[in-house]
Amino acid sequence: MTTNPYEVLGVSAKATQDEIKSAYRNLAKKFHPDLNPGNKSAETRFKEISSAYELVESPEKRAKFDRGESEAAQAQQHRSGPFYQETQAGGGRYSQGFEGMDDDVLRSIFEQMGRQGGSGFRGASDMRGEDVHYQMEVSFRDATLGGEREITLPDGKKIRVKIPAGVHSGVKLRFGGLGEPGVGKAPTGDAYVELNVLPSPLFKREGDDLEVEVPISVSESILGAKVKVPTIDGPVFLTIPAGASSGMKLRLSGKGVLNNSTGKRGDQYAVLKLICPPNADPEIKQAVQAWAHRQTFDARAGWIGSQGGVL
Amino acid sequence: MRKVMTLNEVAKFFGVEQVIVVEMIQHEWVRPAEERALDEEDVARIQLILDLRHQFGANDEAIPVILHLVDQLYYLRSQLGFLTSSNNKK
Repeated sequence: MTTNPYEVLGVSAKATQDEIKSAYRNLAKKFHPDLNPGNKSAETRFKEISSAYELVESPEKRAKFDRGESEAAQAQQHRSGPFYQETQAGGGRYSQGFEGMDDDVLRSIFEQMGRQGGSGFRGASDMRGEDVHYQMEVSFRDATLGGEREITLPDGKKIRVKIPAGVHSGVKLRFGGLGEPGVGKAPTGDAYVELNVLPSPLFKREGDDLEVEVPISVSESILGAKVKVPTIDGPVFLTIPAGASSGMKLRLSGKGVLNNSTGKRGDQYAVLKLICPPNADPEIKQAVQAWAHRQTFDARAGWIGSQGGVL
Repeated sequence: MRKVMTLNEVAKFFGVEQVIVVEMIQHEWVRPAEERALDEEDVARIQLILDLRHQFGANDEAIPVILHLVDQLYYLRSQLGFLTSSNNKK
């Protein structure tokens, strides 16, 4: 270490007191640790400058030094304490959460950086982990009666997903704390699983009720029959009354969707669809013809369209 | 253990009148966590204020502005430091 204060301050030994002072101030401004946080060489330089200045800051001290009575090492003691920037480096009292600095603004800046930087920045200090979103396909049956599935998250964690009865597509289930880890003391984000209910080729859902189209033949329609009809619990036999028409709805009680809030199940409706044979044999044609002459039944009686009706 | 100093000790440490330190607290440039017990942070902050005044020629109007900006700077630095360190771990 140079012990010559004039050299350290960059002035001549004959410099005036004012010259020394202004040289010192200029150097101090340049190397002050609080203006150069984290810069060790600036800090060392600043200490040199301050000790040098202390030796020559007044005409008396200067005279003493010039006589060789004082040493640089003595003066250095004064700057032994930590610099302000050192006390704030790890987040001191004065530099956190003070008035005027909006945490949300910072957070959104960092979040934006996170999005732009991909795997780079993930968040600011003490920032809650991000929520992660998953999609899961659910069978029509599970959506109707409820169910349970195990899914494996990308990080290998397995979670059991309880599918509530009666869910619709778009319902999101929340799994607290299974998202991205938080930064600092902030909590982990949540995982959301969005359910996507697969449509059934057979069942149509109307609220808590289900509808199934059931084709019936002409003879079943006229004579009545017992027909096997699928329900989500498995097939059941449905009695079709004699004289049933296309479009008639027959109720299968309690075979609908389980309502989670009432605990009761809706109904299933079998909607009859009369299918006429495309090529009826001549025997049937004759019989129907003979019957048609005798019958008085008007299928369009009571039909608004037959009253010359205008909409 | 937090090392604390009394007003008197701080004033002696810096070789200034006690009233100078009291003024800094009255101006709220220095806000001790406990009344009349200054910790290392407070002491370092007083040193900074003294430097601002005597070396940089900052006057009493400029000092709170500088302190406020310095506080913001360190706040941002600590946030960024957090980011870079958590980023390096990945």
